[in-house]
Amino acid sequence: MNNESSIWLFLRKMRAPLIVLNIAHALPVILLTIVPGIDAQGNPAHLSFFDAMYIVAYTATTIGFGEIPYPFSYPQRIVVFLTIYATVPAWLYALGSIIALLQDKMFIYALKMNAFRRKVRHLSQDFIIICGYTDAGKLLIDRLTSDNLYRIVVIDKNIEKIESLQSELYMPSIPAIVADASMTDVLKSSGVQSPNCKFIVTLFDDDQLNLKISVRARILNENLEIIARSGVKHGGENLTNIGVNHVIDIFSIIAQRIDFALKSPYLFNLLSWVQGGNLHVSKSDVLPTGKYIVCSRGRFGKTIQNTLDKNGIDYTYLDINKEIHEKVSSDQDFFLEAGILGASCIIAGTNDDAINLSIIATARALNPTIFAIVRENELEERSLFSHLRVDKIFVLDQIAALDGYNYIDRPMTFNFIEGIAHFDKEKLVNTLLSITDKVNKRPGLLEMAINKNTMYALSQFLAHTPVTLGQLLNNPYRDGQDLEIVILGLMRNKGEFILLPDDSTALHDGDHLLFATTKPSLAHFKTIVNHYYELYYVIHDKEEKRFNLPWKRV
Amino acid sequence: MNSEKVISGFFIILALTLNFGFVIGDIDVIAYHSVYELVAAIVVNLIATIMKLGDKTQTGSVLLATSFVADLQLIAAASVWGIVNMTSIMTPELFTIVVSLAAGALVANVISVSLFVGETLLLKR
Repeated sequence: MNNESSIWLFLRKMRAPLIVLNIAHALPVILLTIVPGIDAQGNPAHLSFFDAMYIVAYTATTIGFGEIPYPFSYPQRIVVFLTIYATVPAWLYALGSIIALLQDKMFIYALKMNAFRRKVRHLSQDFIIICGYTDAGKLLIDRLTSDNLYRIVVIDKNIEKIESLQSELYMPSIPAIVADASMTDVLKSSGVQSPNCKFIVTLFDDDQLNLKISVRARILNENLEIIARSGVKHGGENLTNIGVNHVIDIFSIIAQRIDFALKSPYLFNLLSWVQGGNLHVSKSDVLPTGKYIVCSRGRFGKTIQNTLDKNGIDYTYLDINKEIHEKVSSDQDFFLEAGILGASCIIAGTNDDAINLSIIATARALNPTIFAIVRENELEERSLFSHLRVDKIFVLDQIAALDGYNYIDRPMTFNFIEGIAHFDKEKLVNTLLSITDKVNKRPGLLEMAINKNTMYALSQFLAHTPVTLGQLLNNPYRDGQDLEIVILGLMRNKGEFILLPDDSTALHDGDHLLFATTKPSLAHFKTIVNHYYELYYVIHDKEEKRFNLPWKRV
Repeated sequence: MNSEKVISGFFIILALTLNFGFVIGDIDVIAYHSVYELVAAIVVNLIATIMKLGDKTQTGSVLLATSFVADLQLIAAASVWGIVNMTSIMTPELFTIVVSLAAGALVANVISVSLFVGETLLLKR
C-alpha cells in the first residue's frame, strides 16, 4: 500500500475512538450541571461547567480527587456513578485504540518515509543515491564521505543494514530508508528526479534487480549518471543497452589486472594502485609464465580463459560444479591428474570461499612453491586467506567499490590507465619511479578542477597571466624544495586528455587535474592556489607591491 | 444511500443549527442565550470535526478547516464566559464578547454546510 493513503487511513480509524471519547465526556458534564447539589452552607447549588468538566476529567482518567468543591448530594452521586462506568471504559478504549494505531507498522513506515523524503528534499548540495548497503556499498560510502564532494542517500530493503548504517554516524549525515529500491515511488522519494541528484549506484549481486532499478531511474531522469554492478551470470551488455553510463564488471576488471600483470608487473602495479593498492612492485606482482590451473566456472572462468589465451599461456581448466566440489575438498588425485606438480600458478576462482580455501590448501600441500591467486567473495574471509599466504587476492566487493568510486570522484583515472596501457616497459618503469621518487610508495590519488570553488586565486590569475604546471610545483618557495606532487593527467574543458603533462604545460581555467600526492603537499598546493599574494610570490619570485611607502618613491 | 454521508451530514448540520440557536436573540441579554445550547454546540462541533478527519479530497480539507475555525471560536466563547463567571460578574458588555465569538463560529458553520451541500449536489450518483 502506498504510504500516503495509510496516513489517511489512520485518521479515518481515529474517528470512532475520538467520537466515543467526546460523547462520554460531554453527557456527564451536562448532567452534572443540571443535577442539584448543596453547598457548604446548606443552600441548594448547581455545579458550574468548569467544575463539572474538572470532575469528569479526573474521574475518567481514574485519578479520583474526590468530591470537589463540596460533598455531593445523592442525585449528584448517582450521576457520578454513571460517569465512572461510562467514561472509564470509553477512555481506556479510545486510548488503547489510538496507541494501537500509532504502533501500526504501515503507519510508522509512512511516517519514516515522510521524514526521509523531507531530508532528501532539503539536500541543497549535489548528491548520489546508493542502492544497497552491501559490503561494496559500505566501502564506497567510506571513500565518498572522506572526499565529501557529494552528499549520499541510501536505500536498502534490509532493516538491519540500514540500522548498522545509522550506527556508523557518518558526517555529513546520510539519509537512509528501508525500502525496495526497484519501486518507482521509492526512487522518486529518494530524489531521483531532483536536479541535484548526479549519480545513482546499484551494487546488488542480483542482475535482475540492478536492471530494474536502472531502467526506472533512466525513465525518471534522463540526465542522471547510472552506475550499475553487473552480476555473476551476465555481462554488462543488457545494462549498457538500457542507458547505464558505467557498468562495474568485476570479472573484466580482474581479467584486465591479470592481463596487465602478464604484460608487465609495473603496469599491473600502477593499475592496482589506481584501484586502491600500494605503489610498490613486489615479488607477488610478477606472475609466473609457466602452466596455469584455473579452478572456476561460469562467466568468471570464461573471462580468465580469454585473458590467458590472449597472452599465450598454457593452462588447464577445471570446471568446479556441485559434483566435483566433494572431490576438490578431499581428493588430491584430482589435482595430481590436472598436473599440479608441473604447474606454476593456480587460480581459485569459484563463487564459494570455502572451496577456494580448500583448493589453495590442497594445492599448497602438493606443490609448496605454486603461485596462488584467489577470488574472495565475502569480505569477512580476509584473515583466513592471508593465513594461507596467498600471493594475490581479488576481493570482489573492494574492486566493485573502488571502481564505482573512481568513476564518481576521479573519472580521469580511466583515461590514465587507458593511456599507460600502451607504454613500453622502460616508460612504465620511469613513470612509476617518477611517482615513487617524488612522492612516496603510497601516494594519495585525487582529481581536482581549476575553478572558483577549488582554486580561487589560480582561476582569477589565469584570466590575465599564463601559468604553467612547473611554476606551481617546482621549488615554489625558492628554498630548493619541490612539492611532492606528480600530475598524472590533465583534462581540458573540451575533453582533450593530456597524459603525464610536463612542467611547461600551460593551465587554463576549467581544467581538471589528476594528482598523485601526499597530504601535507596537497595542503601546501591548496594554500598556493587559493591565496592571491601567495600565488603572486610563487610565480613572480617577489611580493606584490600592495602600496608604496612615501619615502621609497619610485 | 450512504450511511456515512447521513451520519456526517447529520452532525455537520446539527452543529450549524445549534450554533444558530445559541446566537439568535439580543446580543447582550443573557436570558436569550442558553448555556446548554452552547455546550451542545461545542460537543456537536467536535463530533463534526472528527467526522471530517481522514478525508483526502480538496473539499474535505476545506471542510475540516471550517470546522477547526468553528471549534476555536466556540471554545473561546465558552472560556470567556467561564473565566468571567469565576473571576468577576457578567456584564452585558462582556456577554457581548461571548455571543459575538459564537456568531463568528456560526459563519464558519454556514460555510461548512454550504460546502457540504455543494459537494453533494456535484455528485452524479
